[in-house]
Amino acid sequence: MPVIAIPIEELNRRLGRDLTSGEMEAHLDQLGVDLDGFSKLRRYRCRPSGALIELNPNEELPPRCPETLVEGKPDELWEYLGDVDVVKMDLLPVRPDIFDAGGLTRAIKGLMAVETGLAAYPLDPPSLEVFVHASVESVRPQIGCAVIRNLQIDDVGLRMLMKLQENLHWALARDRKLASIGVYELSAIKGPITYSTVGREDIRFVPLQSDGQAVTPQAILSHHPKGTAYAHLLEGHPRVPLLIDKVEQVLSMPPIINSHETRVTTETKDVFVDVTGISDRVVTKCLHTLVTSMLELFPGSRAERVQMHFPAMHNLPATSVALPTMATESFEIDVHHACRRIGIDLTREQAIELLRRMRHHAEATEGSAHHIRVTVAPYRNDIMHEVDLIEDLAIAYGYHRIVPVLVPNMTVAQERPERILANRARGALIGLGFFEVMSLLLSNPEEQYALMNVDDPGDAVLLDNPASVEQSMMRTMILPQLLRLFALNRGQGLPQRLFEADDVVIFEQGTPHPSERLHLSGGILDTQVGFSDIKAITEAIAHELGMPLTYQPIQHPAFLEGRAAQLFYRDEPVGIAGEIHPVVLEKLRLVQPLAVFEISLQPLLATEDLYALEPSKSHGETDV
Amino acid sequence: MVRQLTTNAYKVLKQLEAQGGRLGMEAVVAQTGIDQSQAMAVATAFAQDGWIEITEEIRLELSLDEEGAAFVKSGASLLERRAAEALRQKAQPMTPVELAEATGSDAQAIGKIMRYLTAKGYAERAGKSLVWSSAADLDIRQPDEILLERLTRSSESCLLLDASESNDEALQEIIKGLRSRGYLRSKERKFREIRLTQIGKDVLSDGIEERVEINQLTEAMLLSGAWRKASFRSYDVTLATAPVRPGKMHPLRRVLEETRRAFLNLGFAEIRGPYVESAFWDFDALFQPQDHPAREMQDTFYCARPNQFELPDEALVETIRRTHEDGGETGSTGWRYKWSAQKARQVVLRTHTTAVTVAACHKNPQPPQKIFCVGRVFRRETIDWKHLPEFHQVDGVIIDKDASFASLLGTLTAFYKQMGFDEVKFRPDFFPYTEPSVGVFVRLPGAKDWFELGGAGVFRPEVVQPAGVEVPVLAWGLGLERLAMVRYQLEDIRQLYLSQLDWLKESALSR
Repeated sequence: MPVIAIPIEELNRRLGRDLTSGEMEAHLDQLGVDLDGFSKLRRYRCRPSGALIELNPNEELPPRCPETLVEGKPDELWEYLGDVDVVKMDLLPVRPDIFDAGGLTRAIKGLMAVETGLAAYPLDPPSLEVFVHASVESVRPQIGCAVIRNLQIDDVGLRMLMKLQENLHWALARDRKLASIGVYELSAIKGPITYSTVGREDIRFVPLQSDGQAVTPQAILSHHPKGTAYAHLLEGHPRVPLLIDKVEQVLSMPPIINSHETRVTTETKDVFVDVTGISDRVVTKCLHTLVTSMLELFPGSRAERVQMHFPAMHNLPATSVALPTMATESFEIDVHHACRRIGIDLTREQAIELLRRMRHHAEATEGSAHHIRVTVAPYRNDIMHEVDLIEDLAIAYGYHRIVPVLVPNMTVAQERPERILANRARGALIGLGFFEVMSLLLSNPEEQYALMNVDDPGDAVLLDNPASVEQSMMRTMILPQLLRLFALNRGQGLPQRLFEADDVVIFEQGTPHPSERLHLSGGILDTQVGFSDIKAITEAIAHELGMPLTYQPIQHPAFLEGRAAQLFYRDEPVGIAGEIHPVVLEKLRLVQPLAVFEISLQPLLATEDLYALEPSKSHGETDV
Repeated sequence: MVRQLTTNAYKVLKQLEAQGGRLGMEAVVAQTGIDQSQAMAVATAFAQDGWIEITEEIRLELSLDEEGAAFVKSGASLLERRAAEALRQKAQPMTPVELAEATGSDAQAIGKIMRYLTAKGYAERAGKSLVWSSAADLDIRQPDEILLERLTRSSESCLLLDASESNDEALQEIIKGLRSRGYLRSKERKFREIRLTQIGKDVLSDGIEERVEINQLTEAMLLSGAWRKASFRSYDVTLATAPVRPGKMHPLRRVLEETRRAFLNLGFAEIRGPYVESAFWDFDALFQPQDHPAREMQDTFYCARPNQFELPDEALVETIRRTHEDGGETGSTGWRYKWSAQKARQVVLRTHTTAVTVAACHKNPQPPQKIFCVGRVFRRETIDWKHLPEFHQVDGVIIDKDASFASLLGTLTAFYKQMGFDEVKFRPDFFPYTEPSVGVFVRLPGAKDWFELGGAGVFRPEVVQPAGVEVPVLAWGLGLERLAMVRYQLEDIRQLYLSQLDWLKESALSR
């Protein structure tokens, strides 16, 4: 999870008071944010470009400006501006609205009851138009725009704005896949703007972070750092999305890069923002979160709608709409139900106050004694149901204030039979001086078959996307892994007696589901050990588990001939026991004889629905 | 009164008497044939009774080192003496180079002995040169030369100094000098001597006799009754024995079993479910949208064989589809996307045991129920010190009309208390299938750091209403390898699956 750093002075200035680190920690904890700690960052300005960076005290100055890609000797490139105190925290994907100084301040003001209820974001009527061309439908069909005026960005503000975009790209937009944001100098644009597509070689513009040469979209996708990083998002599309103004000045090629001419600088007062993407919901949430956070970040700024002209697309007729709508959603909460779900006791007035502290609008529902009408801010991405607001209520109340209790109703404990059986088998082997080992259920053909000198019988569950060749299938036998563990324990003294009791998974052709079987496998490694030693063990298990076994000689390429037996229970084969063949011992680089066994305990378990649960009987509790 | 003594004690005391009441321990061992440690044990016991006194002295044992051996073999005298001879003959200042030439050595060697030339009074400095000192007398042999001669003459390969010499500080200085020049090695040796006291003499004059001792009681002795006349040799009960360890459960298994026991103690019924599961039960039934990052190939193991499972009955699939798309009957807005049955049919290795508990809710929707499941889950990770592609979780649900978020916190507190964690902390957390949701942290007694061990919450209506449950359902999923690592203070999660025998043997059941 990305870690973000918010300058404490930016928070305090917006809050109008200095929080102690304890207060800050308490507020973040209450919101469920992972605090990474408080620290200092060193702030530098890139001399040629004016871009600001912040580095950890132990980080070295980069030879290249990460924002503008200007290169130089670090000492000459960077001007040290001083240290800044920051609070570091993990980015929480469900709450992208609190990961900038503006949004976080809004939330903390609520918790502190300094400012509660829905924050108001008045919008001016549109003065700019955007025409959407139908050709974007197959590439990146969604778009929303806004204008924000009177920003007065300084270099710190510019950096915060850039970080805000980055965070939204990560948390909401799945790294620009679902949506991507562009911010532009409004004065560099002549409206109306067109959102359309263009052939990959059909236009040239100067991208941000470049040497100032006008290049084609294809050149950007092939050579520009941002182009190569995000080219996969436009793969398979001969025409790429493009925002362009009345005088054919390119604004950007979403979701890759903006043009150099429309870049935002510390001179910028007014900006145009766009969010394009493939998900309507995410584009809208991104736009709303971006606009509201910018209004919080830059006090005194005002937002203005943009008149959007959509063609007939998505099986919908052509339409014209002013965005952002900043539409809010309303939910009805039953206070009794909410209190019961949380396990606390609140009056309706208390609940209303707590919801307002979470920056919702809340008021008593007319005509009801215990309902609340809640209006949710447009930047909240995570409210789908009344229960989401009940959680906000619990958070505002404070988890630490909720008194833990136990459910009052009696239920009866019940153990699974295969767990009881496995433990009985463990008890027997431990009593015989064996140590239990544990290995992964994931294995590989090399281990399961090649080590054992057998062919793949084709009855294993296979992975489609293994992360490593070592784990590409589910094991069908424990024994190969047990042999590996004997090899790992080479030189750790003798005798070695190891066993494992756990599941294997077998998928027989023609059956709908793989079957999971409880197996028991063990072995003895010693200077002298033989078939009769291991048969004594399987006989002991047979006795303790009530599983009389019969033995027939078997030829198995992993075992010494004449010293291995197949084990039968009720005339069905259930396992194998014997002395491991020296060929296998050599592969494992073991220099002592090893006698082993593996038995399926599955026949001891009833074969009915393994996953059924007997409904537990309630005692004296009938009204449901 | 005649005293009965053990064979060893008898032999030592008799030998001491025979040698006039005073004997070194080495002689005791040589003359009685009792081994060193047993002889010392006897002597210590006598001393405690006041029969003898033990005196101890430190003596230095000298032997020739490499340089020294070569020097003795050559029969030459020390280089500073040869240089002094040369100075005397020349009777005027000589540079180190001239000295080297005159003595047939080299300038470096001369450089090293310059300080001896002056220290022994043979010569005085004259700038960079040296000049014969008129007061010197080469006939007088220096202490270090005497010591080397003694060592050469000694019949043994080493020379043992007596106690007074060993403690002579001047001599120690000389030894130090010769040692640093590589001529000899020295070693401190402890010598003990025992001397009969008056009490000891009285004991002897009262008379002692040897008592026959046996090591081991035998069947034959018991059958014959011979044990009645026998006395048994005492053990030194403080001596160490070879370590023996009982066979035991794997440490991680012990945590898994304690976890099961804890939930059984709280009245929970145990269930299990398949490792190989449809995406429907692992994700869709839990209201996890089909484009959720956790469902991506990067994080979840999908199966190539089998690669598709049948979905449950159509009515349920339809309910789940609608719940995802627009909330269906649940009052939710839903995720507002087009749900795909094909994606739900995909086969995964379950990513959490919540797949098991949610299926149990569908099978047994009638309250009250308390259900848990301990089992392995799979995540697409490559193995390193922090990650394994599979690990264990305990999931649980409580289906109860009186269940609340507060009783979820209470149940988890009770569970961790049984596991030995008195301190539990709860903090908001966020999962797609619970609301409210909570992260659970524990702390070892006296520790500073909190460890996050899992997540919990009240199942969303979008999860439980399709299952036909009308009451709150509390749910949690807690990682057990993490808990084992906190318990056993492991840094590397891989250790849990290496099953190193030393670790298995030494991790005590009490931990």
